[in-house]
Amino acid sequence: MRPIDKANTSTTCPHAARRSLAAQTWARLCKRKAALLGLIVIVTMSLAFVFGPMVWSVSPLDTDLGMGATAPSLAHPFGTDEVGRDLLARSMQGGRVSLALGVMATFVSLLIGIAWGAVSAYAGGKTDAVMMRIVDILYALPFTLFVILLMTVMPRHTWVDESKLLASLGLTTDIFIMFVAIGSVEWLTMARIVRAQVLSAKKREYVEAARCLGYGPVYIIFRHIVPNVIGPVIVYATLTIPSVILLESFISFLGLGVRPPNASWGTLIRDGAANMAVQPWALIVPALLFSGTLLCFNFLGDGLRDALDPRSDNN
Amino acid sequence: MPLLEVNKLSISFRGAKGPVQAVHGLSFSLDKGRTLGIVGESGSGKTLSCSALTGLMPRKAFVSSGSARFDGMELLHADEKQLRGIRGQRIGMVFQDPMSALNPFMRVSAQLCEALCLHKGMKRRDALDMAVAELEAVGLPDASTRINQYPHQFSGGQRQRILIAMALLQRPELLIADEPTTALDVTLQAQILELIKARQKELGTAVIIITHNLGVAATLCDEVLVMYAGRVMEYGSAVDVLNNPAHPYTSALKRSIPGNSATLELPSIPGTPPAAGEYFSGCPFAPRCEYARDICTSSPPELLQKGSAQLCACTLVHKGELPR
Ligand SMILES: Nc1ncnc2c1ncn2[C@@H]1O[C@H](COP(=O)(O)OP(=O)(O)OP(=O)(O)O)[C@@H](O)[C@H]1O
Ligand SMILES: [Mg+2]
Repeated sequence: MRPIDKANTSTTCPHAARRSLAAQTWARLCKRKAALLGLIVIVTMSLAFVFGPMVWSVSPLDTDLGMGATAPSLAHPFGTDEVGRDLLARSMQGGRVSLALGVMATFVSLLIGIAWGAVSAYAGGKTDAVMMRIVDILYALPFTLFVILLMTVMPRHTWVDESKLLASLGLTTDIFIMFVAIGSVEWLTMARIVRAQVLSAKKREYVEAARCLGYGPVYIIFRHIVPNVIGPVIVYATLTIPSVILLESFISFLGLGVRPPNASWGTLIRDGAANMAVQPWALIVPALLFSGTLLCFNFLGDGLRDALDPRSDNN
Repeated sequence: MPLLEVNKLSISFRGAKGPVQAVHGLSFSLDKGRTLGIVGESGSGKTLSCSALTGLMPRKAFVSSGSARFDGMELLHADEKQLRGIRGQRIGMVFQDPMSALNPFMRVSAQLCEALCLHKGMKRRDALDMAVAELEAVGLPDASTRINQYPHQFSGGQRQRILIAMALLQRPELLIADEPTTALDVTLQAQILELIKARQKELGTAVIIITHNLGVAATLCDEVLVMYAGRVMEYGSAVDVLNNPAHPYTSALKRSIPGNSATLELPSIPGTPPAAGEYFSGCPFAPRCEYARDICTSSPPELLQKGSAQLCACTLVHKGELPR
């Protein structure tokens, strides 16, 4: 009998019940250990990449040909590559590029995807058909080929390189192009997801019921449709970030993305893989960082999906 | 003056081959505090007729003729803004499926109170107090704490009580309950219907109950309207219609009331109701009617007085040729 009583009081406690949706989501997220771990790791890593250079003031670009490749040591915890560059500094710089790219490209795809999908679903009829066929056509284009094409066609030196502000953030033309390229492809799935969500939310019986209670369209959109759409969109966004990072790695691995001497996790892995037999640490370190991050984002996305649904308290 | 007076309401759908008529000249009237039961098989146009009153018909449907005056105001020509002032505040609705008519992402308190705050300009506190009182009135135990829960934390019957509370909270003059108990099990059905009746008595609300079950209509309603294929078949006081059904369709419906016969088999009316828009030169029920004669399929029946306060659309009845 005890445990049942306990469960009851925890759900009926008026104080607990009156918390806001955000607070409740947070509480449910905290109960999902893997998601929480993922979030902590991601936040710690991002902070380390941004503020790390203040502590570890070795430049990622300084070469020391005399030293060459060395295994991890006290002076270089992650070792050095064959031209003597410090791999810790390079991993941090690569992490900044990869994470920033992942977040920014996802943000771009979110903006375009939500606008496109929502308009399409609201307008309905012919507009919807035309907009969705455009998405279908873009979908049918070979995705990687499209990115690669864009990377080759675009000029490699632009105003982005002139801007001091952007340069200080580590943004160069190649990164900028890549982020436009990836973002402009990733929004397709987002648009489809948003459209499907809005369509199904529009037809829910409680939306009909709300109209019968005399609510206007603005109230219905913000109170009933948005909350329905936002959950899956946030979840998909957290899953898009690692897929963007993966894509960036792939493109950089092909030699089309981030150009030397700049590093991203993709270029670090490529360089490490080239000398895998003699200096395995140069591959293992960025590969571990990279796959660890992917895993953490996936954990977080999974946990968020459950945490955003109040019904998940039951199971 | 009756609260609601519907006169020769006809509704059609825009189809690929021109309009398809689904409701043919529906007329009825309802006084303050009275209850009307609309009975008929699936697809007879019950939901459609009622949604026309609140201006929430499916997109393809349109009112081709007729009028519906609610407290002196014409509903069928009202604009969206006027209708929004009427929906919920003056005409409440209870839906068939309590599982899907509540938003799973919102607390019950929010779903109940926001209409009061928005439409009546009430303070959140007062609205909450009123909502709790209403929930207690519809028989939800421990309402003051449970109001903060989410819909999934309630059972089906409790949710239907919440929906009834939600509809009554704005104190509408008319409540339309569209098959309010079909999603619930039999013992709950009786309770919910009793509840609607009790709240109606206390608040003086007029009620339209839509149902498949003539028995439900008879026990709960003052008047009963029997619809078939978008037409009125019989209309009169509940006692008359149930005890002395004039129309063969009503008799058939009466025989198919669940639990009315001793056999396990549920007697149903043989055949299927016609699709919307099917053309009839005579009576639409003739193909399924056990008494049908040639005259039934050749000339349309008129809705005429039968008995003191009963209308019936059957040629044979009016000719006195039916054995009753
Ligand atoms: N969106 C629509 N498009 C075309 N026809 C429709 C549409 N909605 C309803 N109909 C038709 O209108 C007629 C009346 O439908 P209505 O929903 O009013 O039936 P009902 O009496 O409420 O049935 P039920 O008891 O099953 O709820 C039906 O014949 C149906 O086929
Ligand atoms: Mg219906």
